[in-house]
Amino acid sequence: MSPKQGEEHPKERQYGSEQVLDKQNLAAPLKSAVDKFQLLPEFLKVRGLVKQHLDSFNYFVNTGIKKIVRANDRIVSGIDPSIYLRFKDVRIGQPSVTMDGVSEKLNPHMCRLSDMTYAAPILVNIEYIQGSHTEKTIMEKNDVVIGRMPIMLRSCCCVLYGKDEAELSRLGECPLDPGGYFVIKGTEKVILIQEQLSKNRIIIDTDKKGNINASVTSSTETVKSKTVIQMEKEKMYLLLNQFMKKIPIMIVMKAMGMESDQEVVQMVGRDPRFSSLLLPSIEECASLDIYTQEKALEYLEGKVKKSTFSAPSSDKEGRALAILRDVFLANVPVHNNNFRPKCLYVAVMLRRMMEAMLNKDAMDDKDYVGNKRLELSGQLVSLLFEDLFKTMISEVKKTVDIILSKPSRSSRFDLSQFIVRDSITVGLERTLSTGNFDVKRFKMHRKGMTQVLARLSFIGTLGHMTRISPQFEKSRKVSGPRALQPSQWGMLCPCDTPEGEACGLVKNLALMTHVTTDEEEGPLISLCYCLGVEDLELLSGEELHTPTSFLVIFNGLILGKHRRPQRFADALRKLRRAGKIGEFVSVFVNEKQRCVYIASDGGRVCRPLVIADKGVSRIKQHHMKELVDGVRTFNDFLRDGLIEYLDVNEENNALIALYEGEATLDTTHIEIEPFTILGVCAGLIPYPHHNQSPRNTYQCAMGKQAMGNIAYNELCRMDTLLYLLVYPQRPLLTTRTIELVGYDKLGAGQNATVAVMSYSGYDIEDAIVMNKSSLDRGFGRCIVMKKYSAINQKYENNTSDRILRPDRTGPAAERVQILDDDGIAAPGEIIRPNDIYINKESPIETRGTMVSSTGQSDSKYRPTRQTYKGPEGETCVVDRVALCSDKNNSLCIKFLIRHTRRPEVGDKFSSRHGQKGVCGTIIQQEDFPFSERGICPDLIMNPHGFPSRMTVGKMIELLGGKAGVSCGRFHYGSAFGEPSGHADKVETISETLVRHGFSYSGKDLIYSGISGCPLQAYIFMGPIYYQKLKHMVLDKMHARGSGPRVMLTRQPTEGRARNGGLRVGEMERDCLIAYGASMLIFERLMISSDPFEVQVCRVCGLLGYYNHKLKAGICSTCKNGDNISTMKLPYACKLLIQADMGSLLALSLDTGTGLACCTVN
Amino acid sequence: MDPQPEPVSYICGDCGMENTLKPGDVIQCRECGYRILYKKRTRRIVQYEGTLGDGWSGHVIACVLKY
Repeated sequence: MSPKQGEEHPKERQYGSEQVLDKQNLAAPLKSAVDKFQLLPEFLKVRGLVKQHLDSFNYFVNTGIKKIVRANDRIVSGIDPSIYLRFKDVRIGQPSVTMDGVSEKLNPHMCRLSDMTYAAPILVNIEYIQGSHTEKTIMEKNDVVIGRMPIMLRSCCCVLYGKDEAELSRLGECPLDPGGYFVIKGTEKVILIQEQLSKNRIIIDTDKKGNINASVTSSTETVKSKTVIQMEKEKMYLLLNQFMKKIPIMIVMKAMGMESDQEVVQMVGRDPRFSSLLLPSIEECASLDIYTQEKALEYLEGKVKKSTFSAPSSDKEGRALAILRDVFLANVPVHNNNFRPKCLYVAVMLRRMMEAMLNKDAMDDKDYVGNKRLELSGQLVSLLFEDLFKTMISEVKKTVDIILSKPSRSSRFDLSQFIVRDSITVGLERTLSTGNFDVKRFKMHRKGMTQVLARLSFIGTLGHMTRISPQFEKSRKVSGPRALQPSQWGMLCPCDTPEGEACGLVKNLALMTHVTTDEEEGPLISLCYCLGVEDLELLSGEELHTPTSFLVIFNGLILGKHRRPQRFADALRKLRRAGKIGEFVSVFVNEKQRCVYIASDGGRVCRPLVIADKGVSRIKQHHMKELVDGVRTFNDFLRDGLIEYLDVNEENNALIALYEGEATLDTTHIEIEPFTILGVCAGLIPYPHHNQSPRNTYQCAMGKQAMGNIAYNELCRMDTLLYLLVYPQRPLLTTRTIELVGYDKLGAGQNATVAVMSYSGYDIEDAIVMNKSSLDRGFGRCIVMKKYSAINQKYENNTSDRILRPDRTGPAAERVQILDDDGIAAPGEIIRPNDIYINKESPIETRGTMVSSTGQSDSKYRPTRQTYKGPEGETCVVDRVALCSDKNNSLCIKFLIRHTRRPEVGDKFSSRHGQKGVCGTIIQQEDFPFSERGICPDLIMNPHGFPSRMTVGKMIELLGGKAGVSCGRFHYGSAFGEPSGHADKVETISETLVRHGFSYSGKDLIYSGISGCPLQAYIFMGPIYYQKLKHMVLDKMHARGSGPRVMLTRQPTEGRARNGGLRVGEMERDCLIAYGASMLIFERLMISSDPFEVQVCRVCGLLGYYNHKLKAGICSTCKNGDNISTMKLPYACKLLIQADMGSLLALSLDTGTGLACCTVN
Repeated sequence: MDPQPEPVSYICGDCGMENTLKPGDVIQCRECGYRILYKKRTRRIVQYEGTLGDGWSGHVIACVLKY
């Protein structure tokens, strides 16, 4: 009894305390779960799927570009300073192109078709001086074009902005296309989101040697620098590029005027542990005998890197001070040489380092998402534009100075005429089309920043727009950056990452993630002061770290301190919820560091959450009803303070309940929908939470390769390669994400009835057995469209290519059948390999003297007709032929050739669960198993695919699909959707199945198609959504007997495209050596490759030659033919011997022993 | 020399107007100024094969012909 009593006693106490809680619960208003799902479509309606790109570009176009121009608004002549040009305003016009002096409006689809750049003119208003010397008049000009800016589709400058579906389709655009990319020279280019460590923040971490580092990457409009304070052997040093060596930090402090050691100790904090850690550094400074600012600066002067070009001002005040002011911690401004803010900043850095020393937890995590910033297209284009704009200004200045320095000028001097347009246009276009950002001014050299938008499938396109490319090089072997970070919950998709080398480095945004853009700092700073922040300037060192106050840090800049941080944070949040300050401003109280961080900078990831008061959601039923009725929009929810955006840092101050029912009194926020933690690609998977996690990752990669519909305008496009499915379907088992992104409108797969059983033995290793009749009905049938283009080239001697009427009687008559009288293939014609699709001729002479363009005789031309090379034995059709002029105004003809393919053995298929397999065999429906109801599967999948893959989701998809077809309703399988009703439970699915006369388990009685006997086992059978992947045998199949050889080595060519041989590589060779199959090696490596007969001199061992007159081999070294042996060598070997001879190495062959020996001559 | 063939006409990608082109002409619709023209579909009779892929095609077509 007694132990039981002992057990019961604490229980009673618990009950007692719960009763107290119960009273509170009783008083609390009744909780009822509100279905907040409707918010999501509403959110995506206002946001679109690629808002981050659009917002960033809009910010640049509306604000960024103006800032750049305002910062560099003057071109002043170096010769006569009174001659100037001032940019008053800048704006981006309508997308248009000037052709033959006429400005024509552009729309994106037109640009895609005719290889143009979708760009708008950059218009400036200028004020400038006309004339020089005596008569100077101030002139003004408005809307001067300084270049053309490529325009992001669907941004505020784009013609598609704010258009409805009908208008979009009139412009040839797909309404479901997200935009967010550029059209450069007819190709769609995406600027990938770049992941970076956040700028202007103190980051504490350890380096390779285990030393603690505090680093700040400063970035202001003018300077970009990296400052590192390092703790080495208990002493602290400053590492800065401009100094040759590391500098003891106390010397830096003294150089900035902080001469008193006591004040430094006070600023760091009077905790004795801190002082003792600081002591070695102070001692070192003293041992160098540096006590005053002058001494310290003198010391620093000796350490400054001698640069080739030194600023002229450096002589007066010393370079050391200039570096400390402008480069060292460049993000902390120094006004009137007041270094105090910088000293305090250093002190805070030191304190953070020492805290990290005493307590390893205080170390920052570089992989933490809150320490990262995503750089978007707007920022990158802005950087590029700034560089080009500055270059243009300096160019103009140079030409103006040259002209002004000329003694006599004839015409009236007009500064506005010297503005060059091409440099900006060409620079932007080139960088965006190559992706090589080479901005010397900002020391930025990055490659592969832009990519051609993947148009393989609609989902691939969307996935491409949300992709984040990493900052690190991929070779790094650390696992940290690749691992899943807990802080990426809801921000970055946990599933969608590539396999292999970029695994975990390349990430994707989640469904609801938003990336912020810069917000104006000035009003926020003054607001902070109004809310009781004590100004840093007015604080003494002692006061900085008093135990009752928190530091207030705004975008990495210390504003001051606040005595009631929680109240301050609450006030700011209230203002944000009321819409008085920007919705993306984040307020984060860090208890550990005793700081309040306020952030308004761009590039932070954030997501919307429902606000809860004491665990009660602010969104009530009536709000949702208003939303459904269309009276309320997502923005109203934001404005009314029902929903707010939290960034990763602020999430640490929030307690977020997954479901409303799980909220407690401490809960501050409630998730909108849990499945939004997944991205677009992972959102397609039904029941992903029932799958083994790598399977979802595999599906994310495969969903991008699935064929299907690409866009509504897919048949009007002229892509180089286009894969389409003939009869795409929407999945029977959908998810909410599928509906939100529009996958149900642009599907990439078909619902196949799958029987999970073994059949025929052609289904091992994930191969699938397909039903021939299903293929006849159109299952998996696809269209491959390929573009071939021909240009009617113009040459410098005024000649040009010509397209001729085909000669229908000549020797090539067979091959010109599909041509019309204009010499161009006609659409609708069947085209076979070696058919001519354009009967073109080019002039033989293309250079030299000018020739009259007409009246050239036929002999001056040679045929350059283009022939179609496609798979032999397949019938392709010329789908469309478009004519347009390219940028050189020459005729460009594009042929779209269509090939319809039905699945064949070896084509690749996949379900939505990372279960890919090739078609193993195709079997007549007569031999296929069938059920009592006469249902015959479309494909048979081997059950061995399940146990090791553990894709339970696929089984549930089959069940749900089966229930779906039998009851006529789409079933749902959203991630984590069972509690909120966005995924059907297996139990209810089974009930539906039973109601329609199926087994609850999804298994059917099946008869063998061959014998007609019932099978011994019940077969799990039902519909599963299958994707046909772009990898098809027809494109890969390759074999060769003899064929082309490389000229140089006479060995067979490489690769399918060149009809190459199949290589017996080193490893295969090793196998043959180990086995002892010497003759096989001999045959493979010489006889079937590059055999060559050589004459070898038995005396000197060098190669001779065969004299055809004498019919004998002769050694050219010995000058006779007495000792010549004829032997066979690989031609490559002969080449090696001769190449060595060229470099004075005589490789002699010993025909007796079969050895080769090398001597240096 | 065979008789002068009738010129090939092209369809404007915007308004659908038929245009004839001579060598050296600017590629532009005469009606609306749109700069992309498409070729007209062939007038010749084209018989596409049913791509059933093997000997079955004849069988199936024969079946179809029977009815």
